[in-house]
Amino acid sequence: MDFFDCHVSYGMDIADSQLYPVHTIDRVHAEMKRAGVKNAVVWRIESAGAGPPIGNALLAEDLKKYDNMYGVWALLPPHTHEIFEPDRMLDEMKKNRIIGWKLCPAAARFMVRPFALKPWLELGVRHNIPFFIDTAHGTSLDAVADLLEAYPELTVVLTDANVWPNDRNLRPFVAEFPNVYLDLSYCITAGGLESFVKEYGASRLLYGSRFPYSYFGANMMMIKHADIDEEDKVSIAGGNMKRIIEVMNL
Amino acid sequence: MMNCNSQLAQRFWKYGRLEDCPVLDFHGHMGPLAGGYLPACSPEDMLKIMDRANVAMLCFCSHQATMVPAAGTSGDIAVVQKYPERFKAYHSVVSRHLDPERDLADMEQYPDVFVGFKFLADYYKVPISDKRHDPYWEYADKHRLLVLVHTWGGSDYNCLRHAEEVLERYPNLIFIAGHSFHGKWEGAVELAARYPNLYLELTAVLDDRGVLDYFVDKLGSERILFGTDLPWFATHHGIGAVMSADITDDDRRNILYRNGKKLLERFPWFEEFWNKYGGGAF
Repeated sequence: MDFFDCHVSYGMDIADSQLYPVHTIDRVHAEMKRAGVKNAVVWRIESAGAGPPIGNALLAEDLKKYDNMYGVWALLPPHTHEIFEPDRMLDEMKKNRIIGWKLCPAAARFMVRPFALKPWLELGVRHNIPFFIDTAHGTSLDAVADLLEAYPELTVVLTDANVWPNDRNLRPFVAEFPNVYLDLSYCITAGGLESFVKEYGASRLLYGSRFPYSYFGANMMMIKHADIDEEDKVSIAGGNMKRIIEVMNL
Repeated sequence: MMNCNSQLAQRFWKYGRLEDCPVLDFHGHMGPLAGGYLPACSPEDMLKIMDRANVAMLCFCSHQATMVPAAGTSGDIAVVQKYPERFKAYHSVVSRHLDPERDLADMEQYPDVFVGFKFLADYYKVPISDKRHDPYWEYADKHRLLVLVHTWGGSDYNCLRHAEEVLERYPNLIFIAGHSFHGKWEGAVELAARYPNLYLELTAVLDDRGVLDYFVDKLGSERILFGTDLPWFATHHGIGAVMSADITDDDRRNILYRNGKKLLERFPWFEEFWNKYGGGAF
């Protein structure tokens, strides 16, 4: 079973007081090896704290060292022209092994509304580019709903930063929108995998650890020993994330 | 593999459960929850989850007992009587609807059901050190019972200060700090160092990487108890976190069952129960 982690970050956070922070991609790589994680989607936390232009550039440079990691760049509304323009973005993503976008509106101070992000949303739908949306960074579930109601085909990897059992909020997204995937980083309810897979199948769930804020191994163990078919475990562990990348057309 | 530096982790990874490493879970609930969907909250569904990880016993207090004072603890008593070798209960202390006479009579009547009390002061908004709780603390202290206390770092009702107000008065009970004063990790370790009857419990701690490593580094592993909030959090998630921490396999065994065994040995029913799990073999 190959694990492809959809939620890994690293970098130097000026505000966070994490006990054992992970500053470099080298350390991420070493910890992945220790845990047996084959691939990961990563972003640099400076994309929030220092802004997307800086964080995205640092990430692109780091990714040159490790081909088992894929990057996610943070977006801004295109109106201020601070990051690559939409017509150049796809080439730059391809060149730098970037496979999706993040939104950090709390740090970057912008509105998550369809009209503010329209060119990115249109590009995302046209090219199957996933938006990795984590409510921890300031996009509420209501805002995610607004985006999806405007662009129902949008691919969204949804992280709800909340360990409370949250199926009442998350299942309607999966039921309503065909390209919404749930990052399991915070979805750790007992029996939750089994219950979800029984109703919706395994194709919409992604292994995510939230490393370095959580251990790689906690959710790996939860998936490996869930009471579901082996084939479903393989999909959740890495197959689904791999497929999301494969259907992108940059 | 989860952790290539640990033999125990590699075996857990392979099998999901180990006969020579049972698990004692000191923080459980049961039944449906107002604030979220719990798909496996019946005793039978919880037992299936426990079996898959070889959780020998869960000490719990149901949502009904904590949130529905009118229903009381009868449901918990019935569950323990049905599955006496798998579940033991904490008697709820519902701060705004206290009846010490009735509750302590329950304790006297069902010594094989209850291991102690459960405080959930953040929810009731009454500090654990409030004098209305004195009869419960006194009873627990007199009988050396376990008291599972929901604790949280910034709480107005069950933070480090409130815990110390209790601990300095009651040295004989076992104060289990559920969630380990979440967020106030340094203070939790310092308080545990001062009070030998304080144990740090890991529910909602294990989703924060590094906290367990820090506890073991600063306090050692002998005063840490495994817990999951089952049916809230997946047991294998918690075990995976314990296996991932940068601690020794001996530490992991202390946390998963050895420390808990030492605490439960005070109850007459324990020896027979434990012998069924191999007794002193591990």
